[in-house]
Amino acid sequence: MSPAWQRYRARRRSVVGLVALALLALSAAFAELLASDLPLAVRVDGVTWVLPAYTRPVALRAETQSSLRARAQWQWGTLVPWGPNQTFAGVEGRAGPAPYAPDGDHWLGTDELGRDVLARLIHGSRVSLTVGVGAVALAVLIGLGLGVLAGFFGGAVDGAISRLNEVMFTFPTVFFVIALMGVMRFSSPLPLVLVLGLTRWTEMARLARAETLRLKQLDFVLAARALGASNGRIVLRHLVPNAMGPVLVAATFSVASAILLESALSFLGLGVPPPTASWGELLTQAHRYLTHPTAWWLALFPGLAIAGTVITLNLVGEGLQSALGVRR
Amino acid sequence: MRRFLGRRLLQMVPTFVGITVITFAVAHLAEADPLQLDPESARSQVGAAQAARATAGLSDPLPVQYLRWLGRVVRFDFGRSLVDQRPVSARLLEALPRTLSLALLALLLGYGVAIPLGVYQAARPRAWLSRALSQGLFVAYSVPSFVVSVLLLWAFAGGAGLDWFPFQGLHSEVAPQLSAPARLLDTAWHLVLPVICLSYGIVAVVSRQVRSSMLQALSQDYVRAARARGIPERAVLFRHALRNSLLPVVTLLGSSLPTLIGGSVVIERVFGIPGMGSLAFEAIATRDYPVVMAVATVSALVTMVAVLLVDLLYGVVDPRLRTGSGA
Repeated sequence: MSPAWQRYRARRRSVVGLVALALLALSAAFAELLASDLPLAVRVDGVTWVLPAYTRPVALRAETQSSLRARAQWQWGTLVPWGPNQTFAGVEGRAGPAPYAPDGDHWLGTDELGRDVLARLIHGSRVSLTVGVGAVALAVLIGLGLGVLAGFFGGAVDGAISRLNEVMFTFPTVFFVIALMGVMRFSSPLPLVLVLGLTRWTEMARLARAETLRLKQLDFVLAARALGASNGRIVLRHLVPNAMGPVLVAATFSVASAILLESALSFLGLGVPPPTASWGELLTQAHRYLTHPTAWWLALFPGLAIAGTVITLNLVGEGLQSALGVRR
Repeated sequence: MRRFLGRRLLQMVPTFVGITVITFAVAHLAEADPLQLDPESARSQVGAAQAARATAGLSDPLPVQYLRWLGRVVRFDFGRSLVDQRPVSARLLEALPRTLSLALLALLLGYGVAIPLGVYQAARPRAWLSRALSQGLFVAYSVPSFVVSVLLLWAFAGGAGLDWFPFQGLHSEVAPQLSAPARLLDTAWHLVLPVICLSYGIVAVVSRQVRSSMLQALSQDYVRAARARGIPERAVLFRHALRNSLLPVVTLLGSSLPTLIGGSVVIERVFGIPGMGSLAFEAIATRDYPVVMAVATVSALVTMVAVLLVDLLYGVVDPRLRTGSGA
């Protein structure tokens, strides 16, 4: 067992954070297995369907888990028997218009279109994690590359990269993203990933540069050079892997802030367009139901989901920080 | 000092140009009819569009159009809003002070709460209150301000039965009939929840930083020396240790200002405050491009000036940085 992993394991709450993060990633990846309008497996009219939630066969397209319950010989349902975009299902006999409060059918209530909040939370984690991880992966790629190059070559290269870094740091990213998303009205999260990735690499570049400046004076770089290693080999095989540590820690915290920004955008109605489920979009609805009538479940549960994810990422970040011996 | 200021002002020029280029490019990519983009289009809607197109010079190449726009921008002329035909600069001058005073209040409250909290945690690291505070602040640090704002509104503005604070806006409906001090109180009452929401993230981040740099400072020799000389603990904490812990805290100020200005879009929207954020949001929703471009440019400018002020503040906090050779 590596010493870094031992140091990580010593912090119990960071281990909890890592497990929670893994569960979250799994539930986002396999959201259809947890919450869907169609069951995991069903035998109806003598035919057995496996995972209709994924394959969506034509024969079952008009069905739902509740309609199949009456006809099927047997049915193996999902944990949450509602799809994220299934409107006004299982709300029969309820007083007044939607949103409906949590009860036995809809554990976390429904939104104003009668869609299950829990199902939308599970599917909404996809947008959040895609944007968070995608944007930061891009930012790490750019930041690590530019930072190591600036530190390794110094001189004019360093000067140019550092100026660019200063410009990007002053750049009002948040406002710019809001304006861009509002004006362009994209239909996928990809542009958001690109914009965030292209603007948020400054911290990573700064860290990678400082680390490279330190590393390149160490003996192993000299040894590599003495053995005839080229600049490219030294940068790629020796400097980049060793400068990863601080960048990785910063990246973890950065995923958290990218997720916050994405949810703020969809809260403003500028995120991924409907009917795609996202956490911020539920909070937008909550804002309409703060007084008369109130729908506290539309504010509380997505709020908890966002906060929980961010806490998880910050715990993992702290764990990595102590495991990799990074100081901030 | 003067050389440093000059160098920093020069550095702002490429940043500013870069931001205006991007703003101009985004607006032109988004709008198919360039006539909509031109500040003169208010006139064109009244008169003949064709004539306006010629006089507004929209057949010129884009770089020429950009330079003309930039020329007007540096004279603080952003043309007229497409929605209400008023000069954009007039609307900016209405909205900007509201957003800036909101941000300033939030900064004052945030730092005012965070610094004592951080000092306390560093001075009494083992007290149960310290440990509870650091756990609580860790959680608080992770909850986004718009979630807090929605929950606070629900809890204290009528939703959950407690109707202590107003729901929207900056003034009550009866405000025009009130006396001057009463009107001030009325506004203050409207500002309580928004300022809490804006400052609360600052409290979490800054107090963590104050705590860790204070802990580091307190383990230094000069603190032990001060204590050995019999200097009262209060003076050791605030005059010796805190003074030397402020540099990273000032750095945080630099990064929290852009966040505050960005965050104001959300907070102003939630609380219905007609500042820069609301102006931007409405302009984006109604595709009022002159206003969008103006708000983007001005908020970038405000951010740059704020970052510059923070850089100058370094010199106040740490006299070693006053010469301006480094930074």
